[in-house]
Amino acid sequence: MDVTAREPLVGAELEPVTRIARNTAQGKGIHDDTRAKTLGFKGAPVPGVATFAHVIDMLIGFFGSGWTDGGEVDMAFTSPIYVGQSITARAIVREKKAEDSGLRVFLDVWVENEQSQKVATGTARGLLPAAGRP
Amino acid sequence: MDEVDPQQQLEMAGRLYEMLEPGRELGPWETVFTEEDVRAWAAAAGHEDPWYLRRSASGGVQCHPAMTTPISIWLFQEERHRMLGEPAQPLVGVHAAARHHYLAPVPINKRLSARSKVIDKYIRRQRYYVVVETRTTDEEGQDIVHSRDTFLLTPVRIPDGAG
Repeated sequence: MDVTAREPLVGAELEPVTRIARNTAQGKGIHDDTRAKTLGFKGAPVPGVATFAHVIDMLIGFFGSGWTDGGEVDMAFTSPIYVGQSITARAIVREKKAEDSGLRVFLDVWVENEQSQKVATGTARGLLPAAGRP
Repeated sequence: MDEVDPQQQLEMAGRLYEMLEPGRELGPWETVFTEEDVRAWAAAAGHEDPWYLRRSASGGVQCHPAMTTPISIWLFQEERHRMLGEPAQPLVGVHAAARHHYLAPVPINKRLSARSKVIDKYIRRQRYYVVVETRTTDEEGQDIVHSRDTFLLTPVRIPDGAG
């Protein structure tokens, strides 16, 4: 993999990933409609785990195999996401540093809903492997 | 579905908050992700033909890294049950933040072992939070994921003047 072939520019946006939010923990804990409404939510919120996975899918699409070689993501789930909402994971390159094994890329990441409101925000970093590395 | 009462939720959260001191160790928790688990995970997430279900040159189905995300939740829930006993209603919390550092691919059909530690707790905007760090390793002791998760013990706010 030739890192120079896809070296991102600072400020460049990664390919966004849009999905319809699903409740992957239906009926468990807060992810139950009645319980959630009793506690002040509009309905059962989608698990943060599912939102996190969505962001990681976007990052793996960019970093490929380099993601499991030190990939790190730090997210705060700031607003509830409800079943059926269209959510988009986005990221912008904030910084990059050359390392022996490739290019370490630092990103600002977030998830937004259909109204372009950020419902999860954070940062990520990962390695784009150098040429010749798997 | 068990009914929940906000006042009881707040009482349980307050009790748990008092008991969960930083430094408290949780676990170990052991699990094995099988190919069936990976397929079930993909189905629950609604992923169609995802990369991790395609057979790679080096082997078969892979675990999605995010499959490890609930491990700290499981560990925390287990400890919560141990500390609160069998309450009339479950304490219903919220996963507020997650920082995960992936150090190696998540293995399939191999035992993973995780241990957590409470590293912080605080009250913010009249709500109880606990921060837990988790280290997940494979059978050989190799680090797979290091994580830090923040749990809101209950979305119910502490009344003004209390606590």
